[in-house]
Amino acid sequence: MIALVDCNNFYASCERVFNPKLEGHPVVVLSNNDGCVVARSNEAKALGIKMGAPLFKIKDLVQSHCVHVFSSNYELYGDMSGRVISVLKQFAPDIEVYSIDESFINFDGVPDLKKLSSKMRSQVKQWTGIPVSVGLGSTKTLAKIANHKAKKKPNGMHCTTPDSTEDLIDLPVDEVWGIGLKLARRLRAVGVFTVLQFKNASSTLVRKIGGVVMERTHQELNGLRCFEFEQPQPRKNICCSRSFGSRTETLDEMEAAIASHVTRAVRKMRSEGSVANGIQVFINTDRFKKELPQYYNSASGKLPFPTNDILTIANAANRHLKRIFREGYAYKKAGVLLLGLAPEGNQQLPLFADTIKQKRNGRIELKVKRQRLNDAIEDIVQRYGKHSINIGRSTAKPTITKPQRWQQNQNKLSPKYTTNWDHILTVK
Amino acid sequence: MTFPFKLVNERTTPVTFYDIGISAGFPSPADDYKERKLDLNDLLIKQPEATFFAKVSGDSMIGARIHDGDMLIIDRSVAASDGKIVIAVVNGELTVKRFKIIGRSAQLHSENPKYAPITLCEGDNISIWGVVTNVVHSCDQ
Repeated sequence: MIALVDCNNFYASCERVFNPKLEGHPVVVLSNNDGCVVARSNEAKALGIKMGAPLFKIKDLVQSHCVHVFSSNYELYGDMSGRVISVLKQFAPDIEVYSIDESFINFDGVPDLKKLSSKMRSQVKQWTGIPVSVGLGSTKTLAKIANHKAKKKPNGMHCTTPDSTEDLIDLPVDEVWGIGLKLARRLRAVGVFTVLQFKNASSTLVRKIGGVVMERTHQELNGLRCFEFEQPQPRKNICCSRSFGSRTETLDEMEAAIASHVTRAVRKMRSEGSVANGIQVFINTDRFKKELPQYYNSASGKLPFPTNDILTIANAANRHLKRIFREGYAYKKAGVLLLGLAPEGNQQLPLFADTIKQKRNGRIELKVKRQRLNDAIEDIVQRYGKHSINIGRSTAKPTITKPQRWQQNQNKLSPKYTTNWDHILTVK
Repeated sequence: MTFPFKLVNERTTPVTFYDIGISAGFPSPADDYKERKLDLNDLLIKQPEATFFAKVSGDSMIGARIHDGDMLIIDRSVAASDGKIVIAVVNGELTVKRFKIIGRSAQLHSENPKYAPITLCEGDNISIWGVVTNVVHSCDQ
């Protein structure tokens, strides 16, 4: 058996753990830049607030029903997700973290899953404060459907088998894992509306409409395992990008944004023990603002040598930015992509690197110092938080009180309760 | 032993000379005994995934030697039992109290005569958030 454990309304639930006053009240969490709704408590769902709804469209509802609105606090959600996963790992070692709030667990050969699932649920709730629901099935696709049902049950658990007609009969076909709106439309065109109809369709028809990938989904619904557990693969790329809080026009501001993305990307890469071989920088205007002149471009290139040195990468990024930057546009987004990641230590260093002892020329000396500089930066970040040190360009002007235009709007951010000493809970 | 620099004149300021880093070939006899440094986390945190921190505001637990500004280590994996210091949710507010079971009723007590105990009744909007396992008190306050 496979279990899919899904955290209920995860981001909203995280906010509630540290703010019990929100219990029973509608809560929504917004996407980056406070754009649209990405998480809703059950109360918010009941008010008819839709996933993805832009904030301005629900403003009236928010006011009339006192909906609590939060900016997304990914530092908090990431930490809470890690806690949930480590509690789950105590129940079974074979676990695939599918997303920030969903994990598949392999329970093959484990007896009395009902009791175990119930214990798992209550332990996650007690230890982390996060409510989860558990869907059980013989395949991942069935477990996904079971989870759907589990969410609606008071005990938060459900098991779906290929014979669970009552689970499949009224479920629209696009609720199946892997069947998107496009495939669903094509299925409906041939009279397949519900999951049950899809399950009972002939595999020839399924293959004709959705190819072998959808055929596998079809087989999984019929109890044949086609999707195995995936082990995390080492990343090949790291991307850091953000939409700007407001339109950004000058090279200065763009340089600052790129420098701050480089800082984050390099930090991520170093924490994974990798080096990058190349880098790409991309910028674009707001494609929804059709009345404004549009421009998007990217530039990429190899780094001088495989490295995770923040200054080398920042310089390369800035060079690429200058190649593509054009005056006279209102930019909406900028980002950097570190390419061709490889484990640190295996990289081919330039030839002069191993002549360090014999030659003792100034250049090599600098590289040792550079390594120390990187270590020192790491150390400072560890001790004083991730905004404590940055490369020169990442604050265009030293105005601390007023956020830069390129920074995000996060007007309703809750404290980082678990990752910042200055933000921990206060109790009376 | 030679100094790596020349003495310019006799009138110099005496400095302590630490002899390190010139051992010619013999490893330190302590190398084999190097252990990890002591880490307070090992002592204070049993279940990291269930451990949270909170700062105390006010004097309601002064009798339990929990002061204003102290930092509490809270372990949610520990069950609340009679006598434990807990974080409770009372009307949506997080509060630190001593949990007591008296006969058949559970109570939340402050450790300060200024505040009356709260008896937990069926249907009350009260729950236990976690159990306080340690208090970090700075002597510098």
